[in-house]
Amino acid sequence: MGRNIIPHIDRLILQRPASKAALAPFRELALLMDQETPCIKPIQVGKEARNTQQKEGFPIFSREDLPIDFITASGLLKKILVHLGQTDRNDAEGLKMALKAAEADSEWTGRLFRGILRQDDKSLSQIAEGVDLGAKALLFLGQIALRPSMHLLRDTLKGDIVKMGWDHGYCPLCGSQPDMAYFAKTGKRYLHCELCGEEWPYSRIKCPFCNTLNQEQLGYFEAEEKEGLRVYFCRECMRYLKTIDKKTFEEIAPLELENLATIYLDLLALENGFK
Amino acid sequence: MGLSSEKKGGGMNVTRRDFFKITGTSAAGAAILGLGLNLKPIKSHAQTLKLRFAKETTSICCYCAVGCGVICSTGESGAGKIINIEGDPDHPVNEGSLCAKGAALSQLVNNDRRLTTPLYRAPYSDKWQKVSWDWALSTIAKRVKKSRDASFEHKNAKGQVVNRTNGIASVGSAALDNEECWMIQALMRSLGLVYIEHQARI
Repeated sequence: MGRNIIPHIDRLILQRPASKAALAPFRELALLMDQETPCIKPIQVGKEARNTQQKEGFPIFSREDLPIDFITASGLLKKILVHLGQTDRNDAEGLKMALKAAEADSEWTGRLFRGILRQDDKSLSQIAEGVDLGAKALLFLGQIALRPSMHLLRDTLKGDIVKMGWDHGYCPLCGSQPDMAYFAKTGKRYLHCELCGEEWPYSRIKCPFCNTLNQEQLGYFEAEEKEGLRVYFCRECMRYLKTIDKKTFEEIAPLELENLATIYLDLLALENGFK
Repeated sequence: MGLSSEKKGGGMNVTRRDFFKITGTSAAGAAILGLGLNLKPIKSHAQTLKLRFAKETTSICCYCAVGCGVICSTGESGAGKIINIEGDPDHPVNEGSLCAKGAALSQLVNNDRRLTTPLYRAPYSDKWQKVSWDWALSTIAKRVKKSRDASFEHKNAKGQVVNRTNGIASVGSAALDNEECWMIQALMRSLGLVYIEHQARI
């Protein structure tokens, strides 16, 4: 994402007005993301790495080893903090403090990005406390700042990653969990990586989080008025995954956007005890 | 929290604090906080929606010997009725596709145009009339017996034992499944029919 997503945002808001609450503020950030041109070193995935990936089920990179352009991500984060600090938010002061910290200490953003990639909650909480911001808010903003680099990495390695037969609930590129899924026109389910945006095929009736195949424990709910948007859940691990059906919609937006456009489904999933 | 099968999205007592606690794995939760969203309009929208809960079960199409895989969605409300049937994309035989009959499988269960009483059209009539099952079954039995008795051949022209009737033919319906076809085949063979056909082969 990053490039050419503005038309998708505008279309979604027009076609599904309920998505405006989430997409309109995101549009401003997307404009900032569009201006970034990250740079990563040329990478080639060797035959050995591909074999290991395929046979042993290891992703190409672990999250902490991802070759990310921290400099571009850091610049983008500062722009985001400047922009959001000027908006009417409860945590505007925290955003200004975060900007100050990022400008005063060149290592601050690096620590933040490493904390996000390592999923180090303790470190993230400490960084967030230091600037009086919520850790989850900072996590989201950091992920947005990393996104252009992550997507460049994904696009660079397109075609180099083993996806056929990769029936794991984690990303074949970076090992992260899915944040959303879609059904192709054939009905095949594809999962979407929360971090790098990679998509990979996955069994239709299997929980990507706990691998259960127990059909009695798996299910979905949907709003009767909104065909084609389902929330699949697992009663063994109580996780859920929003899923959009390409058979129903003429065109779907990049899943990062669909994810934001369907936040009401997250509320309903949480309300029903899923996480 | 228990799940009700059909419910309004009402309630919605997820607070900002809950979100912070809960969203260890919810990217959307982080997005809500990161974007500084006002949840009120989103909650209001969610409250208006009527939810339908279902489970998915894999099965095999009942119609022919190809054995296509299907996924049956069963509503968790009421009597747990089928609400959707679609091709199973992970099944090696059909990889998600279905023929026209298979695609209409759910109409075996949900079909308001399905006939529920036998209809009879008398010879030379251009109208169908509703009849009772008792009348229909006894009339069919009488006519089958009459035709069979009149046309039954114990031996053919060469003197070989054939025990057959060429006076009756059976054409199976498109909506017969494999098990029903087996029963009809057994019944027709026992009567001595030779001309037995089914829609799937025509």
